[in-house]
Amino acid sequence: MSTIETPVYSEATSRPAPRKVALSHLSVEVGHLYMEDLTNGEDRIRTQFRRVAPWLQALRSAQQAEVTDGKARISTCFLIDDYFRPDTDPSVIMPQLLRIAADCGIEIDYLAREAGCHEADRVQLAEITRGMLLHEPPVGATGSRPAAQKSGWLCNGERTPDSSGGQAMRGSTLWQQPEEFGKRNHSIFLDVEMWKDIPAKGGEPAHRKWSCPFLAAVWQLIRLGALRNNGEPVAQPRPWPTDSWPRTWRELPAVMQLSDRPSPFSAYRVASILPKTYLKIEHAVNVILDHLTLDEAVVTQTAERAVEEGVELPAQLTDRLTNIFIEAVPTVRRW
Amino acid sequence: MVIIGEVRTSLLHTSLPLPGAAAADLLALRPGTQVRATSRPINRTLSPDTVTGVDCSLPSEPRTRSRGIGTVVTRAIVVGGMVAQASSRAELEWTDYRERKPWKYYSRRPGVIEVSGPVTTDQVLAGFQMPSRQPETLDLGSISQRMINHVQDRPQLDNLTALRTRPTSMRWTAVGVEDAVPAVRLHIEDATMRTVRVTVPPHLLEEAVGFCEDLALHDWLYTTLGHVIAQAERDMARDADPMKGLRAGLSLLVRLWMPGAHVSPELRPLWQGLEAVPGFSEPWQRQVDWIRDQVFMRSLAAVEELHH
Amino acid sequence: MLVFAASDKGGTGRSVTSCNVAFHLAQRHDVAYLDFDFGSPTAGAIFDITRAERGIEQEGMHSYFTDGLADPRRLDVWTSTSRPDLRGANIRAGRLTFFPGEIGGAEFGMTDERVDRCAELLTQLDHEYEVVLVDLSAGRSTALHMALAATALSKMRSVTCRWLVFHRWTRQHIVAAHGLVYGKHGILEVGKISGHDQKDLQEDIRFVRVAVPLLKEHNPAQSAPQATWLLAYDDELRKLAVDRRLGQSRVLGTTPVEPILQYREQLITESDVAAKIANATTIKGFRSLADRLVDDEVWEGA
Ligand SMILES: Nc1ncnc2c1ncn2[C@@H]1O[C@H](COP(=O)(O)OP(=O)(O)OP(=O)(O)O)[C@@H](O)[C@H]1O
Ligand SMILES: [Mg+2]
Repeated sequence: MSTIETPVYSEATSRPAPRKVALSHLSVEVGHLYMEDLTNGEDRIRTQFRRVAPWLQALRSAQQAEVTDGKARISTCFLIDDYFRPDTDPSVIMPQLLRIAADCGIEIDYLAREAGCHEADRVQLAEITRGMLLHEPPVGATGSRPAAQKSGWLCNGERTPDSSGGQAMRGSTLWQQPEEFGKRNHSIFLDVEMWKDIPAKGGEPAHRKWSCPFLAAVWQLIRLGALRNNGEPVAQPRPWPTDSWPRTWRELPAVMQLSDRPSPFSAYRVASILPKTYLKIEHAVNVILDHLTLDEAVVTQTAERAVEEGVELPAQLTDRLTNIFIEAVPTVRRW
Repeated sequence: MVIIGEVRTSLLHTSLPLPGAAAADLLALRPGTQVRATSRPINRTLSPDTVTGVDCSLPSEPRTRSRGIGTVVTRAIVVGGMVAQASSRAELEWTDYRERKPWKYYSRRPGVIEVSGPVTTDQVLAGFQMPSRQPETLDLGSISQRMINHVQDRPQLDNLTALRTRPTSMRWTAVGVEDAVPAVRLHIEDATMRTVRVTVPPHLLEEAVGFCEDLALHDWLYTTLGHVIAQAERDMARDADPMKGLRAGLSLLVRLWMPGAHVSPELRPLWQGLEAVPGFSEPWQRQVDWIRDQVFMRSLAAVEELHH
Repeated sequence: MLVFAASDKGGTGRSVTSCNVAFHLAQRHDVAYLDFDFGSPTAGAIFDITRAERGIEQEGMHSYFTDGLADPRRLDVWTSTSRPDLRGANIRAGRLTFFPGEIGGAEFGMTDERVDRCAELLTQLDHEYEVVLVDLSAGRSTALHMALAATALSKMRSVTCRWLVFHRWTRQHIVAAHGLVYGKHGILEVGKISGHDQKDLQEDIRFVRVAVPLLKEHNPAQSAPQATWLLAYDDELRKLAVDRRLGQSRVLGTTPVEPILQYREQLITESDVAAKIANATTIKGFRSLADRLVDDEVWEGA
């Protein structure tokens, strides 16, 4: 903006245009399983993929109907929960998972690791996303005071006022209910924990533990091709042979391309076919995504390409997300 | 088209000027987004924008009902590794729609505030130029102040100062008018508050931001050098040594004086107007000369004393 | 330089003395006066700022800490005071800026966030004013604790801090002042827990004796036995003070009993002395306190 560019002088440090990523029309997430489900025999995995398959088919035809000339570019992906359970063995889990998926007629084009949503190729994706957060102001917010924030939390409304820690002898105030911003008659108030700061303890340094919904929000951003690190694409898929798995997840790239010449990983639109148990997480993901300031240069690029291709694209990111919730396989009791 | 803004300017809490790389590090406030810097003719580093949501009435004169919903963008600037500025701004866009839309609508329009209600552009411009902010209305100053505090609190700074200085605030409005000849009006409200009104053709509206930041910087330099002289005279009046402050003023401030250097060429004529009335560079130079004379004469006297 | 004014007991003369010291310092420096007496913010009255006698309605020190206000209200004493003899008395005077508390404001709890905000404000003002005087509440207050915690933060290491403990010249006051500094949960103990070096902190503490009667003055109303008793008891207090480590080497200064101040909390100016309403010794006491406060030699090793 105020970087000087004249015919005789130009600065090299001004910001270059962000680099583009290849985009499919649609990316479909073909189910999701807890680590417990992946390590507890074949039945649960099989049941879920069997239930996912027809919806995948439906999504494919729905997308194809939208594309008037040529074949729709559609890719599939699957996310592994290795952030909270890094202690499992890919060489045991992956062959079985891919075999059962194939049995059910599902080809997984891309495999991604949840830990890769925290950090991929040394780039702190979760931190970058945190830097994009924009809290919603209550009515009357002038900027005089910082947004009432609980560090690590995000909500879709106004919380119950905090009556502790105020001034003495102010009289106790009556409890007030929290309220959703832009509610229709009644509130559906949601307060999401995005991360927890864990203090140093017993040799382990202080660190930030990201929550599942926050990492899932990063996951959707990557799938939508909306994240950049200093203008560079992040978590780009790398080909990985499906017959050789290491013993730990850490040795794997953040996103792997498993199939031969699939459509691009990122897409204009993304759909997730998930067990109903993920309803609340996806609600939280939507709240998080609605409270981010995106890199406008990236947004504009995507919009321009969509126009060139004749793809109609909703302006808001969350409007490009589709969720299909399927009946959940009863989980192993964990209590 | 109207942009309103407020710039706070203060001396960076550092004993020595920060080198360019350190200034970039200081202003790396948003992971994944690069800091921008220009090095000629003097180092100027810009942080990535931060965004703040607001939903409140706007200042207006005479007071008229209004509601502004949207976002303010703020950036921090370091000039010459020595001066910190925080600059907040928002473009005002009038709308007939009164209700608040879903937040994602506003978060996708950083730096735009949608205004509804009977208030007119002129009323808001007048309200924004009032000497003291109307309570419970948009407060760009506090947003900028928080940014300054945040930057001054960063671990990259040694928290030492050779010179005690007062921060200044500059509240500005920029109006885009078709075919307008760029014009500026600067008003010094009191010791720390200034208001500025800029008129430019619409395509230069964004550039007016940089101009106002440059003006705020030089107004602060000018004001601060004035205080250095006042403190020296106060010291001299009671036979105390004024040299420490004078030297610090010379070594820290003087080289930063470069009005218009970071302003878009099309807006440099605005500076020429200000140089004519009230005058900037000429009285500045006279103040600098006065300080140099004092330092010179006192050093000379000290040397002579040594010889006797 | 940051100066913190503390006292164990209320009504010691902490505020009146600090305001007068600030007034004298402002003749040659830029000075800020912060009202951290959150339970009873009344320093505005001493400066005769009518609209802030018991604090201001909003945007004062309280909101800065409890609401996250960015810009607490500042009042320029020279232009806000209703005392005509303060305005323009010295054309070369520095700034004297008063940061008032809020009317009806009350004590609040200490949190890490508030300690950080405290440090942020103090650092900011230290870069702006030569002297920043902070009037803490009486006793072991949140304000005192917060000031100790904030100044212990590593980023504040480079800032000069001086602590003044005010007490009257009576047995109870001496014992109480001793307790506040050296006693259980006292400044040194809490300071150490907060991260201060106890020895360094101790060297930054001085006592101020307020309203000390001048015994050598000829007082015709006094009987001979009374005079003898007073002298003897004064001597005893001196011994007690030394015994309690409040002795001369740790004293920054003394103010005499000033009749005006027994009736009204205010600044004592040259014009009060010229009008023979106030004693010259009073103004001398305040001026000496101001001089010694910024004289580094006074603060080198107690
Ligand atoms: N040197 C003095 N001679 C006589 N009276 C004095 C003197 N100094 C202060 N006083 C009076 O002592 C009283 C208490 O003073 P002040 O309000 O400053 O005390 P404080 O320690 O700040 O009290 P608090 O804890 O209530 O804030 C006031 O009436 C003041 O005028
Ligand atoms: Mg008091």
